[in-house]
Amino acid sequence: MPQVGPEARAASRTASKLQLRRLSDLLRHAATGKTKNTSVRIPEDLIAAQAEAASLGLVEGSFNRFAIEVVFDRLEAVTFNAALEEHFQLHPGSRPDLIEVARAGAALTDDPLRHRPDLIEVAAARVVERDPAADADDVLLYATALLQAEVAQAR
Amino acid sequence: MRLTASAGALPETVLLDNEAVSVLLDPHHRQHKALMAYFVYIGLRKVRVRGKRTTTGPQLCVPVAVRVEANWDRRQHNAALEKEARIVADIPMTSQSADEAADIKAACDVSVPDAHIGASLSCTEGPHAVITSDSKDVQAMAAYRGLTVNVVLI
Repeated sequence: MPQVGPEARAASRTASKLQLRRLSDLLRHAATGKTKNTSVRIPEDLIAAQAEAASLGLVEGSFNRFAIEVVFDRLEAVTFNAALEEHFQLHPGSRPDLIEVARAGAALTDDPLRHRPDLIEVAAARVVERDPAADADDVLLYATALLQAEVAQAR
Repeated sequence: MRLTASAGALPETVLLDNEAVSVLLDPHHRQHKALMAYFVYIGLRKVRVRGKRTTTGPQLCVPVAVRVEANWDRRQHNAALEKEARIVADIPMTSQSADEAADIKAACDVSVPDAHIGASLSCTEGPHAVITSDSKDVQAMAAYRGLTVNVVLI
């Protein structure tokens, strides 16, 4: 297999950045831009399932609206995270660790844990021991349990 | 379904102030990594948040007056992260929000960019979080408008 040189890698990265930028621009204009009729074959049972879910109050809107929202949400989420990943590839020093992300999560949600960084640190260490792929919410859940245990013990 | 750890509410709208924008634009700023931690958590919840109404999770926004104050010209592509994708949405200054901002500016004695943050609290979906270096002005504007805002210090 031929070796890929630094120039080729840089060109590939530039191309992917431009694509990511275009993807982001398309999503930004999707709500107000032109629409297009398509002939998508959709499983009848899927349409019926969405109607049932709507009648149960589990989801809102018609099948078409629901489908468009789901596609938009999914693309918006992956674009957001891909942009962050691209940024961290360029600036590895700016990638926060698990403890920092968990602290940020506690602050953003105004969780009582925002005042207990010590518990977040302990939780992160224990959670990662069990699951190296654990994320910030796993850490916060564990830290919440630690906090509740601490409160119960103090009573 | 996963359990949600946080006891508090996940904000629908996360606003950036002038200092947060400056930190965003400079990947070598000493607070940049801390700001990125908020972004990563938002990204995590964008993937996870699903409900009755589909939702994109917390929206990161910047009132345009804040952008002006921070010299953030999107055409210059000078924002390191924003080179890749526009993940921070603009909140425009409409005629209505200008009135609102003028009222807040007079009542709370804040700068124009801060007043636009205050006005943005009324025209975007709550709950709100504001990533800022100055909790006092944000709290004052929220109190004036009778709103609860989660102030996140950078």
